Amino acid sequence: MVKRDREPESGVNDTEQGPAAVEVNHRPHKKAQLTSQDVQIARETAELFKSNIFKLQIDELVKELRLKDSHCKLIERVLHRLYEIIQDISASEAFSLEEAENYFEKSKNKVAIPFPDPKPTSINYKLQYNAPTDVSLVGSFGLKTGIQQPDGMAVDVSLTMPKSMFQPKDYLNYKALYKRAFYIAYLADQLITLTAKNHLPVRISYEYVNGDKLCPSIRIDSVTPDKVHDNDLLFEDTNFRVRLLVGFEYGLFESKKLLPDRNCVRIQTDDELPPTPLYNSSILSSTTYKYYLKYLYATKKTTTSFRDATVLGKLWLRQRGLGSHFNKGGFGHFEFAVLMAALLAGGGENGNKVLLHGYSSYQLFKGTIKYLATQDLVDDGYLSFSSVVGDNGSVYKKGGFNVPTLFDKTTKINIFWKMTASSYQVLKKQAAETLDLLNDVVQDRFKQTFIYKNTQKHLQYDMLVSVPLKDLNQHEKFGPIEKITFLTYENFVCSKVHKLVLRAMAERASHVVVRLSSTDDKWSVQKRRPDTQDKQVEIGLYLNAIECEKKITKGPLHNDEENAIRFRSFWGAKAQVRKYKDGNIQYSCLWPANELTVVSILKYIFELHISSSARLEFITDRFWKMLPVPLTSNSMQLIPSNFQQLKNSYSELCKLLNKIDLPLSVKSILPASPALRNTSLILPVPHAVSNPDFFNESILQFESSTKWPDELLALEQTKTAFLLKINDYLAKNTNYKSYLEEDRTSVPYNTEIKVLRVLTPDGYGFSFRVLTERDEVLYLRAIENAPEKQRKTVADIYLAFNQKYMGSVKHHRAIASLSTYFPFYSATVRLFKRWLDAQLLLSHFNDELVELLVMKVFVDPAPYSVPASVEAGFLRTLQFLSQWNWKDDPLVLDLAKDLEKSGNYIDLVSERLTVQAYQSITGNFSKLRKEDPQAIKTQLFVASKEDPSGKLWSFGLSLPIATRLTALSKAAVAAVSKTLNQKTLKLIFTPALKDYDIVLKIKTPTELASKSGILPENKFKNLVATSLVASDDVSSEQDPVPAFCDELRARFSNVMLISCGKYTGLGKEGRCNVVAAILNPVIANSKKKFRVNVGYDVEPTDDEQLKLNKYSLLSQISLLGGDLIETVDLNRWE
Amino acid sequence: MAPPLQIKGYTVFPVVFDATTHTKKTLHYMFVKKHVTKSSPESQSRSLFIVNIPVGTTVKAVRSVFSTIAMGAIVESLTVNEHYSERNMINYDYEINLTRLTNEEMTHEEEHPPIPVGCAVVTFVDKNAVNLALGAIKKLVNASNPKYPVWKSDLVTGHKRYTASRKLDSEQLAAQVAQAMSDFQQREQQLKEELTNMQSTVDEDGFTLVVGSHRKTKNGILGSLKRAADLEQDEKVVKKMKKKEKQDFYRFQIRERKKQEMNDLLNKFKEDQERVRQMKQKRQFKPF
Repeated sequence: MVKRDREPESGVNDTEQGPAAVEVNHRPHKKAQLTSQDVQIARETAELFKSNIFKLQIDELVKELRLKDSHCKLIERVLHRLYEIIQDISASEAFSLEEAENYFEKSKNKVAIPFPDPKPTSINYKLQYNAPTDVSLVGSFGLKTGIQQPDGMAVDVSLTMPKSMFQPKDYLNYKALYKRAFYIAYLADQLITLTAKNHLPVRISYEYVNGDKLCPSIRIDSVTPDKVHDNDLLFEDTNFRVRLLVGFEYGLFESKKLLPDRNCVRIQTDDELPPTPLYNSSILSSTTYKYYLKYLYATKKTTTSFRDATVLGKLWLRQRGLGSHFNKGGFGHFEFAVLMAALLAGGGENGNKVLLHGYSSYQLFKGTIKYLATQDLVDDGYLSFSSVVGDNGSVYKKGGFNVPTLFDKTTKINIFWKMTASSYQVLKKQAAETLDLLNDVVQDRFKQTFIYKNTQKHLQYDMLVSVPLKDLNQHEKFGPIEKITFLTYENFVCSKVHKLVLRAMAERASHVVVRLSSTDDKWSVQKRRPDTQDKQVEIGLYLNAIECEKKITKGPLHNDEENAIRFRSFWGAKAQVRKYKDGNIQYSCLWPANELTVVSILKYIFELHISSSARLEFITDRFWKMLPVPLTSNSMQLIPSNFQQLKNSYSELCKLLNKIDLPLSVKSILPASPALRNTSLILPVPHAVSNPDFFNESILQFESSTKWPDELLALEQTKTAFLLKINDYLAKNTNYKSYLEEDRTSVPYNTEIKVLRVLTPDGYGFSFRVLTERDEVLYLRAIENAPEKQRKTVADIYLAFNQKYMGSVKHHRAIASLSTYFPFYSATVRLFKRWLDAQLLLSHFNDELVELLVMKVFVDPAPYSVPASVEAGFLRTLQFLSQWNWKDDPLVLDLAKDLEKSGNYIDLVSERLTVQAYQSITGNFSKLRKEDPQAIKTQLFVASKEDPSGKLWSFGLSLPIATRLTALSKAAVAAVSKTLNQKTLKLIFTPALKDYDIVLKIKTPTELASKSGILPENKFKNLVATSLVASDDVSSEQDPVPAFCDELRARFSNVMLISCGKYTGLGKEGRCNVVAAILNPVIANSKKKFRVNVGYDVEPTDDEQLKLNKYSLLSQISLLGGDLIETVDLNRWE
Repeated sequence: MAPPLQIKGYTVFPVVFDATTHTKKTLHYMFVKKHVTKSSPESQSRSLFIVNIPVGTTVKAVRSVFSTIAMGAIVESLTVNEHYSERNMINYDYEINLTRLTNEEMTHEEEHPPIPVGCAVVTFVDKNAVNLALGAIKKLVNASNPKYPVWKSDLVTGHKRYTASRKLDSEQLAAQVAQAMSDFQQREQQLKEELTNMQSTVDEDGFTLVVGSHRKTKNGILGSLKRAADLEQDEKVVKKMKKKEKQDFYRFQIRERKKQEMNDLLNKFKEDQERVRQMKQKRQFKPF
């Protein structure tokens, strides 16, 4: 959990703040002349809520979620009619079990009695239906806290069975439950007949309440009959449904007997009978439907904002996939509301109040979230409260029960009975993350808190593993004792799997969630229970990024006999004794190098402890396989050693350069290259000269001098003189090879830039350019001196210079440290580059922009957590891009996130983003958008403290490319949300070439994969020479496609948008690539008056105007491409 | 469809791109006219001005085209301005000279009017040659079944073109750099001398210019140029000045400040309301 020690400046400081303090602040300043109502509201909200804007947003949200009045009116009519119908049902005879079954068999509706397992065979009491003593509206509709939901709203109606039907001991051995099952069946049977008569066309089915297999209910959905009668009440459009909960009278059974530690199902066993908490709680909560409604209603009456706060809570839970259902963690709207009510009546260790009645909805919500995030209700202690209205006896008591506990002293129910320790931990984690968001004083976190959803299973967890339930084969172990404690087989299996995975993962995973892929809650009234379906057990892992991929699992010391036995019995044959450098001899397990450790462990442990037929389904390795495998090694490393080898070679070279005797001594050599910050798609391999990123850039600075020429191009010549001197030195004194090259593209108009290319003896390439203290001054002077109409272009020149010489270094420094801080960043960013390249987009983006976009999900992960797997990082990046509305929203990154915590960030230069810095950045954005509201010039605004302008890396991108990025990520996210398997993955990485007007399929004369340092596909490592030989002429071996594409862009970018794959070596056979172009539709379809400098290839039209000469353009392209072009495909050419 | 023969005084001059395995035979249209400048009026001109030049406009290619249509039209030289905009940043609407923009005094004088983008000037050996060439073009396009010349470029293309060595010869480069630097120094020296002259001359009002020893250029003395750093410094100075003032000394200051705060608060509130209204319009409060 990330904790911050700052508190909001103007917001609620703490939940302990009393109402008196709030009251004082309410009073408007007497001295001020402005005492309008607005001022008062403005002041209040700034204090009661996080900020004005937050309050306004919450107001809007609550309004948005309100149920429609017309719907509520209609449903009230439905409820009235239903009530009348229920009143009309007369009592049944008292049946024996057999008679009851016969009765239904003969009736025309063929209703089955929804007996819970085990189905009774003989009973010595009678089953009967008597009119309920009470029918009332309960749940959120009764409390008027219901919200609009896409899957509709359930209106709960509780029916109370008469007390006279029960014996005091009926809580034992399912007796009460069997009686209720008959009651429900009879009710359902009658309802089917009577609703049809009374013009209430509905479909009646059974439904388990929150997945509780002991507690069936009747679900009523509206249907529209073929022939609608005038009196028919239809409510299908409202998306409402009615649920009839059949409960027992409050206090029917002695609640002490049903405490969680009591046994209420007696079975034949030699051992002591185990407690049956689930059974007990289910029965007790069936007696309290109306009771808790009253309790919550009373709280709502005393606390004005209680309603809105529960609405916020409900939405918050929903957006995170949490709910009262067993399979959703057992913490839903009801539990949230009761917890909040308990906190209003105390909650502190001395019973001091955590929440106060005068709080605003935001304060109530935040207070509850804070309580969840910071208090432990499992091991350390539990919260005990009293549901007697007006009794403020809510106290946090030390000493927990190892299950999440919110204990009601009055009813003896643990409100959290459906939760498990693990679901509680997940809730706590979510609450902690939300608390961080709410404490953020810099950025507005409203959307992350309430609007964004985090329910998609592939995005939610770091890793999702699924296994078919039927493969697990645990029926033998599901004995009588397990049956009464776990109630269902599924529950038992999930619990077992959870325990196993948790132990096997140990520190590797912070949380483990085990759930079923689907639940069958609703079923036909003609069946006793739902048909079992094929289900998957899904294991969601939140991994610990630092620990999860360690190759060794360490156990006890070899002489620690007791623990050694346990270790050996758990790990089986894998447990070996190993000696470590520190002298310890320890039990350990060693995992294979060529597979992800987590995957290896899970596979092994399932085979050992569950069943050898359990086929675990992983998707994570498929993602890893999308990354190119280097020639040198194929071991699974989060940050491959190739990067370190390159860095070693680099520092050797730097040492050498520092020693050279030059007119000015070298002040600094700063790297600015993806491979030197672990983010290059293709791993650095010696002599891999066909890799377009073979040369790694560095910026060379000399000590300051007054002698630099005061003119830009002459200054450039002087820099060249220095590079020539270095070149000379290297040639004469070392075995490094070097030469100079022209660079005309980095800074357009500056025609004199030269760079020094150096080939090290160990086969790496580096490239140096010189920066002096005069450069920036001169470029800025050029802007100053430029005539008005040229100023924009000159400003762009400066921006290009800044990118290459200054921004790149700052960016490198920031990313380099973060890439070691987030172990999965490197692989994620590489995979994302791979995706962009597969979609022909990568060549439009500079590395820096891509790295910043991916960094977003690491430094600002909400509503998710920091990714700890490559698929989580990758999919969340896509998810973010798919919903980023860059026209309206800037992306502001805080690249100093939590670095103070990591020890390895020594040269911490940047501090965290401050409010002022953030505001100045957003100010820049609004200024930019005011000038360019349609985002024609700048699309993606990506700013950080390193670059407050926000456009340093995204300038030069074009609107179609930015739009395409959004469209493609939307398509990818949509595909993943349906299914995620290898086929989906392949689809995501396939470009849509039909969208382009011209598609040139490229085939280079030689294979480039191995020369790029990539293991060619479908080839085994031992069949390829693993080390490349040095070549004399680097240029002749380089990938020709980028250069071809560059020339096409330079010549024709004013008429078409050209895309290409950046790395030919990654293509088919290591020699195929694609260059694709889209014609500018404005130019392609319009005529122009004759003009000398029209700038593109034209042909004359009959009316003496000019239009684009498409075919000649194509001929010229094909002329340039020559032997590189294999085929030319044209789309939509007439 | 026959193309028009003339547009705005330019003769249309089609050339042929032969069919290849990937493309059909296509026509490329150039537009030609006699090149007229101040120094060489139409009657004197021996150059043709060509609009819309194709890729690979080299002396050799141009020579080959003209030799096929008019035997005697011998090309002497060629100047072209191809559209070649790296990173799509070159703006052909105006000339940008970084030397001039960074230090006007260092600008080389000789600058000839540039050729518009996508155009070329072909100079022939004499007046007759140019007339011959233009005549031949006109005749060609007027013919009933014209056989347009094939565009043959000597461009290196394909794989070879894009894997060509980019190594610069270090000795050549060194010589070139040395030359450029000495030119620059010479010019600098010259300017310095001018400056010293100014120092010694007494102007009409009887003043002389004071020049520091480490100053290099006239600009450095005469016009101080605003730089980004200067601006920043200014702000700092302003801040310092403000710090010295007492903010809450007089009652009116306190009153004003409170009033100001209140107004700010109100304004902020109004702004926020507006923002939320806009967000609502964009349906940003739909959580599902």
